[in-house]
Amino acid sequence: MKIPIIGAYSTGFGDLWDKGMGDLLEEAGINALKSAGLTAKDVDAVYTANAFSSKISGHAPICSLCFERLGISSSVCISSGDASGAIAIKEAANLIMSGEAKYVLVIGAEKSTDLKTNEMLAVAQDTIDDKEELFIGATVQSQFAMITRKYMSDFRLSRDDMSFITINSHKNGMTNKFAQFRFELDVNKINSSAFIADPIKALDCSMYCDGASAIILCSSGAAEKSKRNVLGYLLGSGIASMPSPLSKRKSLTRIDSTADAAAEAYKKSGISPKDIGLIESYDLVPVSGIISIEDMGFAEKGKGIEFIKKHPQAVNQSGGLKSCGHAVGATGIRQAVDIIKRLKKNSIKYGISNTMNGTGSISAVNIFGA
Amino acid sequence: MHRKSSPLMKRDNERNYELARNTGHSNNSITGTIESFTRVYSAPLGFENQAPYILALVSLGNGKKITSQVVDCKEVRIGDKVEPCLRKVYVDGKDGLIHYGTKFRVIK
Repeated sequence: MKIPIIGAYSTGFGDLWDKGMGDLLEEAGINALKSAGLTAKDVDAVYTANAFSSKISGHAPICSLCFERLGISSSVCISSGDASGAIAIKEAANLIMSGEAKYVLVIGAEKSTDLKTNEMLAVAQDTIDDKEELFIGATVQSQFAMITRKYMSDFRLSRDDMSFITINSHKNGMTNKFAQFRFELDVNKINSSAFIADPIKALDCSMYCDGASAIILCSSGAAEKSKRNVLGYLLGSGIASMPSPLSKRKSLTRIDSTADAAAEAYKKSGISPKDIGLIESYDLVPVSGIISIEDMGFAEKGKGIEFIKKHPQAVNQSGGLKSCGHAVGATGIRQAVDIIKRLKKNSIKYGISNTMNGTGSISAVNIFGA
Repeated sequence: MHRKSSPLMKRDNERNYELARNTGHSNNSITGTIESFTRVYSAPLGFENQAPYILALVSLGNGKKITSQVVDCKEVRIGDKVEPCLRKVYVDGKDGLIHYGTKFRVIK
């Protein structure tokens, strides 16, 4: 598959207290249309991605706002937790490939700071298993903490080794003006922050924030006919699932859903990990970023950190979830916007992104080309 | 933690009590091994007054595993042997139900 991307825009991520969900959708949508030289009338459909709006503001699904704010009437909302954005891109591509639509706007948004931090954390826990894990007092972070401990014990890594991906993300994020946290971190600073769930510290965790990102996909025929400026291409995408509770998995240190989604995306695009020069991994906490790189096929099990040390600029050049902030529904699309922009700028051929819901119950992988 | 309706609680209770049912009967008691663990400091709503508490992924030997709390101890390590016990999990608000479930304790 080869779907042209003709428009892209991302709002800055952060605590955007003077903007509501509608404002974010409008800003991202209108600017993406502007960058493509389109108006709302040209767009055949809009796919929105959002994870928690029903719990945060009570307004759900957010796609109804697209009619009010953008004037686009055919709208769908995809709500698959942290993977929502990446899945919306895949579904939009499917709509174009089916011949149903020529121009599709994909827009992800989250408005996390309308809740207090502890309330938002409570909402975000919906992404893990409820019967066994939530019931007994587990959180996304506690489940990743258990994965971290197992990973460190299996591959003989120290707590400080795990911090490298966080330090790298923050270093890369310094130059991204859209990132929420533009400062450097070191091992001492991370270690001196409070425990969330041992061995995960507060400065290991990415923050739930506000933001919206949008891209516009179009059919190859329409792009050629109207001589659109093509920013990049969507070459392949994959979605896969696995059991949500850690207790139902064979291995703690492998996330099968990411491996399966990546295999599907590689198959569709016809390219392999060695062709790829830009990786947006899912660094919600250090271990998820490292496992994400390994399961997408860039390093053997236990060698993920070595890979990042060798290619610090290739991994999370945007700053990743850690430095950019995590506007849950928008993140998958934010990664796409960042990859397309950076492929052109650094003359890299291919880029890949991964987001997963909770501890990997759903994982989505997209591959982009310049 | 969201509030459970009575039918939902009834459906869930069977599995929540199942493991702890044989506690104290040495002939047919179940034991498990800690595969990994964490200590939760940032607790979800309803669990704040319990923090910090130990959560572990316990391997029950028959291919089954379970995520649960480990109680009555300060430190655990990967590989520690544990046994199930029935404990209070949380109270559903001021006028809600008290929820019980299976937790684990280290076998000395």
